[in-house]
Amino acid sequence: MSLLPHLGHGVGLRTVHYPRVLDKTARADWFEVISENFMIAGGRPLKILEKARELAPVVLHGVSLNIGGTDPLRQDYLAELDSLIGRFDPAWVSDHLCWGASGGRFAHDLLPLPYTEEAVRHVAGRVRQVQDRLGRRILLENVSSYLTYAISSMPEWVFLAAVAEEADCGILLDVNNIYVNAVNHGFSPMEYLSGVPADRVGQIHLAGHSSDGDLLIDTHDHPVPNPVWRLYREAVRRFGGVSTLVEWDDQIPSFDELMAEANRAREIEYEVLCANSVSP
Amino acid sequence: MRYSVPTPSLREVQRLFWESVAVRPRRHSIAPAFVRMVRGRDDSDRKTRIQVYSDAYFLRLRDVLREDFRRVAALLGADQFDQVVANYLEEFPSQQPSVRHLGRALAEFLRRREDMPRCVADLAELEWARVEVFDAPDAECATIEGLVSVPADDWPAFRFRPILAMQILRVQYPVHQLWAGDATLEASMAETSLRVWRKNDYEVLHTPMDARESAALNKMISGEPFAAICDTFSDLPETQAAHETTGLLARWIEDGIIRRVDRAD
Repeated sequence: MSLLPHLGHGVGLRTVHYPRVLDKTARADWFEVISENFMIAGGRPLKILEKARELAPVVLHGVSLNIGGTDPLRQDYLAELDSLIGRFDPAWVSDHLCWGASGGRFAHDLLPLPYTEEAVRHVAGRVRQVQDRLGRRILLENVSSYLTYAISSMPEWVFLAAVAEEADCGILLDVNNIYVNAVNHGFSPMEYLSGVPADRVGQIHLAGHSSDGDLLIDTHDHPVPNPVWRLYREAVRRFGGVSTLVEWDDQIPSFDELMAEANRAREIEYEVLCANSVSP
Repeated sequence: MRYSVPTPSLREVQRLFWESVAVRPRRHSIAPAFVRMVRGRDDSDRKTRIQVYSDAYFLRLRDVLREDFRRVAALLGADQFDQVVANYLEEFPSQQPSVRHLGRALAEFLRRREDMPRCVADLAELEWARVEVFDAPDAECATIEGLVSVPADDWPAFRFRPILAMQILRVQYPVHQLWAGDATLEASMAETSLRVWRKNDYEVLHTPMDARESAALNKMISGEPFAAICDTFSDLPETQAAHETTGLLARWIEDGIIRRVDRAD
């Protein structure tokens, strides 16, 4: 049983689709937007978000919380996030289980953490601070990675579960990232799925990726590939119906093509849930 | 004898990671201590994995700057722009959670570079002003109907207020011509005042101003009353001065740079 309502199958709202929001033909179950893109004083993006909010529920997805960083949490950032939450009443708020800033400088990337007890305690403590500040539980997303650390003392999924349990936060499970990391680091994606606490999964991400030599790169510029669809099917078997979103950030297709991907996820979820309901 | 190697702290891991991927963009300066921290088949594999992050760091931020400074990027060409970005990131790394602020110092950075045509910094200043007004605070704009409600006797002391999504630039080159593609890097120096503003929530515009408009607009921004704005034209014959003043006011209203007239003002 998920800790959040099942909103259905949404899409990430990107600028190329703003006209579809304005003419009210962007018919998704819900929209996910990048929080930082709306931490601005005024102008069109905020107007668009108001319109999108009229069409469907909105979820705020951050990229710069730097929850795993060792710099102090940015209180100005949290204040801006809190202000956005107050204005747009998102169904929930999420960010990434990673770090992205050091010494006051931001990489604007999702950098991997070592999977250590120290990191679990460090991140969980900061998540609790954030949740206290925002007055709500947040979701953390597993990120794609291209390196792991010799000092890691546990698999990624154990780390993810430990942070979520110790921080009492939710999990935004990116199925594409599991697949990418499974290839890049040589583990079983099924073992990953079975290690994730089902009652913590509040949202699922799907996306496409690219290949660069031996590594898969999480580029979000392709349709969801078949291995990721297969893994999604397994995720639905394990976690049941969970709000699911298709991310597409580069070479973005038309809104209708994007919705076709979201609808494919809807069909898979329906098939799996129906099969589960008739199984003994 | 065996020695135990202390486990590096999270802070140390991140320090070495940062040093390897972000401190010197495009210089492939991976810290050997960091290579040893990474799992891999061999050092080549480890470095390849680290390189994914250093490449991504540069390319992502380069793309952000290229989007915000399209005209500068086009004028310099891909190779020179990339080199400018790499040097810029060393001196002005992003310090805000939102990447939107990354280009805040590019004009200043270009102005200090002796190898750069002087007009490029001015062009960057214009492009950055356009970025800033794009998401500056909203304001309701004045209308002719609203102004009609101001009693005639109140006009001399009346103070107009500008919208917040407007900037005035004073530059050494006619960069609006560079921006439009009507000039090249060899553009002649000519002091230029530009008004940059946002219209209808999303349309970012800019226009050159003559000396009179520039002076009048500065008075409006400084909060001087309408009578002072009219004084800008006091050297002209009375009829022409009135014509120029009303024409200017009408243009400002049409452009949407005056905030809604509130009788409490």
